Amino acid sequence: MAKREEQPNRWVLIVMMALSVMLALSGRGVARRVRGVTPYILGPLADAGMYVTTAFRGSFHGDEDVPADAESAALIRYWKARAEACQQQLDVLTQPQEGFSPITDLSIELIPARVCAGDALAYGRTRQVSAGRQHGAAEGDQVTTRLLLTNRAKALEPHNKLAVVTRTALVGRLGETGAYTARLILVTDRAFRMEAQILRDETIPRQIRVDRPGNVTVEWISKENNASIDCLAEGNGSDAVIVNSVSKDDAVLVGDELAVRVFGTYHWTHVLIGEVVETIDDPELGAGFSQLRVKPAVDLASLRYVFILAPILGPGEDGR
Amino acid sequence: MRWVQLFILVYLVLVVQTTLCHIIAFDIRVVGRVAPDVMAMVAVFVALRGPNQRTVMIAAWAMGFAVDLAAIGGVGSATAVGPMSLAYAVAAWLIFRTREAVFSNHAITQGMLALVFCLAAHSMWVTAQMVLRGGWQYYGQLMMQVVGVSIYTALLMPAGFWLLSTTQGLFIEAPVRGTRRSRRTGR
Repeated sequence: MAKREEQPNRWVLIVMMALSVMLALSGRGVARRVRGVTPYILGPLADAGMYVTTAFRGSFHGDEDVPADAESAALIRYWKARAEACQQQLDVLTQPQEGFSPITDLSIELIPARVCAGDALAYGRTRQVSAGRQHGAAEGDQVTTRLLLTNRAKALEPHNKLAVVTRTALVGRLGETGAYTARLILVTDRAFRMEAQILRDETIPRQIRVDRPGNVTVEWISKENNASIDCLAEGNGSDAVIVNSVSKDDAVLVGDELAVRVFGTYHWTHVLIGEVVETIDDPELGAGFSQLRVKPAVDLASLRYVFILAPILGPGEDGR
Repeated sequence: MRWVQLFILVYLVLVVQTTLCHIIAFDIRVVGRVAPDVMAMVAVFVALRGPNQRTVMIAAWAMGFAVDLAAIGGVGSATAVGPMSLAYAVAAWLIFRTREAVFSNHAITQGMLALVFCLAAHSMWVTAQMVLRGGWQYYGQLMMQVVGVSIYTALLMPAGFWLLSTTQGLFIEAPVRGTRRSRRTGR
């Protein structure tokens, strides 16, 4: 004779269903609190799993810029650092209004964090990182890679540490931030929206519209007239960042860069998001405007170690 | 149903889904990111082998709740908790009701049932999130992604079913068969 397992009390199921409905209707505030326990539940097992995932994906990521040997990589890092230092000094000299403006020196603390887990479903492009309010992180903070920078950071004096921010790539910003963990919204997530700038490559000849007080002219691009273009960057939920409503008069081409502004040691500096890989007519505004598809500068699938850029603020200041 | 073992299995599957599944995820231009829903495979398996309807639905609810806790983004803002547990329970009920009509040991059947389960659960989840969010932006794109995720899960379902079959005794109680003597004596 086979023994039949008894059915659970139907009220158990009814209560569970009712709980789901109540949680769903109670909104995101309750969801945030309920989800606060998830990082502690997933814990070290997820961390180990993420290590395997990022290592595996990283080994398959083909990056044309990565040199074959460590010596070449170190040399490239050195010359990139030198070039940036020179550029910063040049900027300070040529832009005194920014360098000596009333804005006092706003420093940024780099909070190291580790990617511990990802989203359970394919729809979200978020990560859980191992730093939270206890470490100084807050919702809205920008998050960058830690690639290329570690050696330079060690070599620099602590008060000059900001210089290391300049050539990293932005990977996202923080969403809900708990005591010890935070949710990183990747640049490709649908919830990612951030003011950004398009940096046009002067080495690619093109005619651009130049707005000067009193007149608008069309000129060939040069270092003098190549101003960055303000725009809104949005994630497409897949593998790219989308920029809508870019005027065709601005002549943005494939190969130009998308970046965000971060306050450096003396002045605002750009942190790269990615490179424009495709320009099409804007689906909403028509032929006079472009929609740009930007490929992130880093492979987000193999992202493991990040820096959270936390502004160091005085009492009463709000820089986030 | 061995509930403690089942919850341990759900926990392990959640860890796999939030970490290792990113290895086999990929992007399709017109669809978006596609990754398998491993928890759905477990839910389909339990729906096919579970002892009765309420047990299956409660187990599926727990699995959906686990996914709910770890599925935060994707609809343009943070998602609400709750819709996936409901959707899993309803989809598991659907599979349970049809299991007598199908030959569940066949790989194609397993794949088809996983496809139906994922299409039902995920489209309910996406729709519920859109309603709760109060906007229908990205809905078409998300539904395309639902189809992609469902097909991917369906393709992997036979392998998942085989793996779960080998460990089935750990979390689903087998019907107790009587000994020869008890069958003879009726006790």
